[in-house]
Amino acid sequence: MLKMTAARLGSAVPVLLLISVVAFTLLRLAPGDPALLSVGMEAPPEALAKARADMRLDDPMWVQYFSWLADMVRGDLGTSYSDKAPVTDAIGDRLPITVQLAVMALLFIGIVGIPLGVISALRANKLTDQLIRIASLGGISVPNFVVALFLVLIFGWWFPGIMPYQGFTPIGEDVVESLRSTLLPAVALAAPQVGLVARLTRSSMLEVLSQDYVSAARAMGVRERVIIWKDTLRNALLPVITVLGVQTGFLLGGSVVVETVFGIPGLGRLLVESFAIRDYPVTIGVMMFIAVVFVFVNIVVDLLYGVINPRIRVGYASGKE
Amino acid sequence: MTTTATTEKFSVHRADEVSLLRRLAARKISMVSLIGVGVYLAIALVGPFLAPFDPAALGDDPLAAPSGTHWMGTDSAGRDVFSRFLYGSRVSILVGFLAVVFALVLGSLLGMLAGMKSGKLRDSAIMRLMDVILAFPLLVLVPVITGILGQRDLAVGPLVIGPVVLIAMAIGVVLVPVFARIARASVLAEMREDYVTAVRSFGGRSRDILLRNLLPNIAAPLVVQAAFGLAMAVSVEAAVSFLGLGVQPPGASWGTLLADARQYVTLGAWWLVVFPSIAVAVFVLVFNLLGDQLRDELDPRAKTTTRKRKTSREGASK
Amino acid sequence: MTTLEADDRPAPQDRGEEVLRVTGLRTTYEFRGVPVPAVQEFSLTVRPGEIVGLVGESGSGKSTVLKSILGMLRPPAEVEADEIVLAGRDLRSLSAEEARRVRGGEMSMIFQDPINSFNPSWTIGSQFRRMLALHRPDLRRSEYDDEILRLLKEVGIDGRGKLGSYPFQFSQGQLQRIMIAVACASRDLKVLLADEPTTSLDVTIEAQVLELLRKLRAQRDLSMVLVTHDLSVVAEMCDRVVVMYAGRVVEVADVYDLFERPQHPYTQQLLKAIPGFPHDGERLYAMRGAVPRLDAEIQGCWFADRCDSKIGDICDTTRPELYQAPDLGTVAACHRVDPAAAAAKERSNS
Repeated sequence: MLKMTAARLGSAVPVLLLISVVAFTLLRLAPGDPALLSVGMEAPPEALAKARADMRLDDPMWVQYFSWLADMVRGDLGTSYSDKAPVTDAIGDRLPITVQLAVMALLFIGIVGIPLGVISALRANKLTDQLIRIASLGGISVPNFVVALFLVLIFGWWFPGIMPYQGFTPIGEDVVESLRSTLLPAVALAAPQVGLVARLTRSSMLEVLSQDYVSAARAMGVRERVIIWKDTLRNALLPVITVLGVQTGFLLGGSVVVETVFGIPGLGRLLVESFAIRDYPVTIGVMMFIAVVFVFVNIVVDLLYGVINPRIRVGYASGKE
Repeated sequence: MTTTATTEKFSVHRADEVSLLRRLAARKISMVSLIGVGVYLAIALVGPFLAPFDPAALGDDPLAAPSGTHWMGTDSAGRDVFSRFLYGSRVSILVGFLAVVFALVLGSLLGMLAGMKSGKLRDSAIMRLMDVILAFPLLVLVPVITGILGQRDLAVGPLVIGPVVLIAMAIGVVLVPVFARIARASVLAEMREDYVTAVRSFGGRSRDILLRNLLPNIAAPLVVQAAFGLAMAVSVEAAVSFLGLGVQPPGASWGTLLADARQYVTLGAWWLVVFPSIAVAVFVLVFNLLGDQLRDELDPRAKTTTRKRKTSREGASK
Repeated sequence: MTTLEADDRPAPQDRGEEVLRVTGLRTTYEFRGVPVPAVQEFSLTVRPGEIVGLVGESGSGKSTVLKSILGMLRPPAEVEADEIVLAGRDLRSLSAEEARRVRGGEMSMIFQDPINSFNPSWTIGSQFRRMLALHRPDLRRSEYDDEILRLLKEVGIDGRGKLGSYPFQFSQGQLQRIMIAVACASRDLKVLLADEPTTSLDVTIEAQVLELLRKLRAQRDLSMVLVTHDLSVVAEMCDRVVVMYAGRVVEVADVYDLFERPQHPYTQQLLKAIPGFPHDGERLYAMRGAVPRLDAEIQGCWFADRCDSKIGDICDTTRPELYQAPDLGTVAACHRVDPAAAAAKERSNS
């Protein structure tokens, strides 16, 4: 397991480096002279030159890249143009809110999507199955910001006062109210993914149900209920878990629109706000942060997959001995 | 389908394509999605000519509910939503289409280049770059790309690339990995087929194999993905424009219509939300359905995997 | 090719009552919403200690028969039968719960592909233990592992230290032996259904597994239904043979008669298609045509299209029943075997 973790982490290094190269390139291509922005438009040329030297902007590109990379590794994502505060501080403020939102959405996806898929597979080609499949396809097709707008329309105009539809209550202030304030956004964020997970669970269940070992369990006289919940579901969920992992990354990205609609001050909102005022260090810093999180989430998913799948776990152990 | 057993692989494919439309039409769901595609195409082509009002003309009756004169009501500036909708539909569909063409060409080229040299540096460099694009949050990557590319006027020869094309290209960039992965996987699968080995054993060069033999045979999964990609591109455009980072006002697209609608939702201006929402959702649904049906009909890999598995089991007898 | 010697086989006919009797079995699958009959008018009897072969091409419904008998098919598949009697009890009258206890208890099944017969995410030990928990109430939990090791030893596998291993860590041959051990774990086992148990194994392993099955039959007086499309396995293993074509029985014969005096043209053509049997030196026979679609509307004999020895219009117009062949224990679904039809043909010729 340890070896597997190390191997998987090692394989992520080139991707992480490439992410940093892309981010650095975007940053340098972005309009705006960082030195000019830091000293202000009216500063004398000497001050500007000094700032340039301080910020090492006169060094060759590759030197700049490596000193920038060294900063990144130390956890310094740069400084905002607008309020001169470290980007990491801004991320630190906003991240918990987005995580709360993403976790709720993920729970929603799992709790609704997986059972729907299982029911659909067990009633394959019956009316229930058809209805679930149509609903899933419909769900996938409606973009999450459309769902969000309709939720605002429903709870903001038609039935006001039932659920909060604007703004965010910090979890430190009032736990229940905080969870309520992220409920509708989480539903909007999750809705398209629920359909996806239901469809995937269905096809994966059907695939596993047609396997010989399910027949063999039946031939042994194992109870049908046990066959479905113990023999089938565990193996059928392997691909679903992989997709859920990938979706965690998309949830972080997808929260951009949903946070905008519901006025939630999370990471996504930070991205949009900073880009709107062309505060590129913040925008690209946050983007890079999300990309790195995405890579690590995928590693965790891979490792989880290994924990569930003995072939990988044991194969790794015995193959290396 | 009547193809004799001796017909070679390529002509079988061509025969498939000729009757593809007819076979799709034979299925109820495919029929529905084909009709949907037709309606959207018609709106994109002739929609603006049917607009009853100038989409930019300000009216004196702001936020009016749908009526006989204003079929979809009016917006906060009194503009006719139906006319804006018709003009906006053309922009949205055009952006989606251009983005997919861009991603399809670039993605399948990169994917094939990677697949031909699988395991080599070129392969891993290309595919890691694709991973990186996927890792960035796409809704922000798109405006960052347009923001950076749009600093100076871009031109290809005499053609100046306008903002709409720029957005389409940026969306295309984030879709490239999807096509690259599929093209690579298809190439890897095809390279193992006997006919590629045969061409090689005759001394065929890998570039010729790629262009003349591989491309026709990996086209099916790419076409299928193009349908899904179109659905995705349109919803990305809508999201980005909705955030105010895509198509800029006063230009209209489904996304900007929804962005206009946002502040007035809680005032009950449902017509501003409902019509563009339905347009986006139905568009995505129609192309997802089409993709599903196309995959059933012509993706040889989706079909042969089940067939192969079966025959290999039967054939294992001796 | 194994030589056939009729006299070295036990004579199970003399031992009376059959242990399994199936009549009028009809199994229907659903394909794109349309019911397709996979097996029709199927009957089978198995006597104690007897190995009955079930032979036919791929898709002739052999495996479906086994799954139908064991009650493993789930809707939309539909199984109807006049009777499925196991040791005097009609399985169709049992409650779902009782029928479940029969599976793996009195009647077990082994499959074609041993690696896929085990759940890939569970250890061999845990899959074996669950069989004991279901069908060995005589054992306490603490005795399970000893019993597993004993059962594995019976099939020639030293299981010590391997119960915590996963299926993929064993070879195909080992897995099939383990599967046999699992299937035979119940003390009440009367009939073992084997669905092409050696098809995915290589030849030497195949011989070992067949030898193991024969040993079990001798030791425990097990009856078996052996599905195969390999006639050499039939010759080596079976006492009696049921030949299937397109979901129906075309011939039932003692193994010796089957090879020496096949009655149905399909059986004859099958035998001619075996390399080196029985006419050495001749060009190998290849059967023309293909099995008709199961949902085809066919008036006459289902084999008429591919038959080399049709006797006339009757083959295309009237469906043959199973007729008793003269001087033999064989029955065959062919008008040539029916004395009445043959007589009628005589008459029209003269």
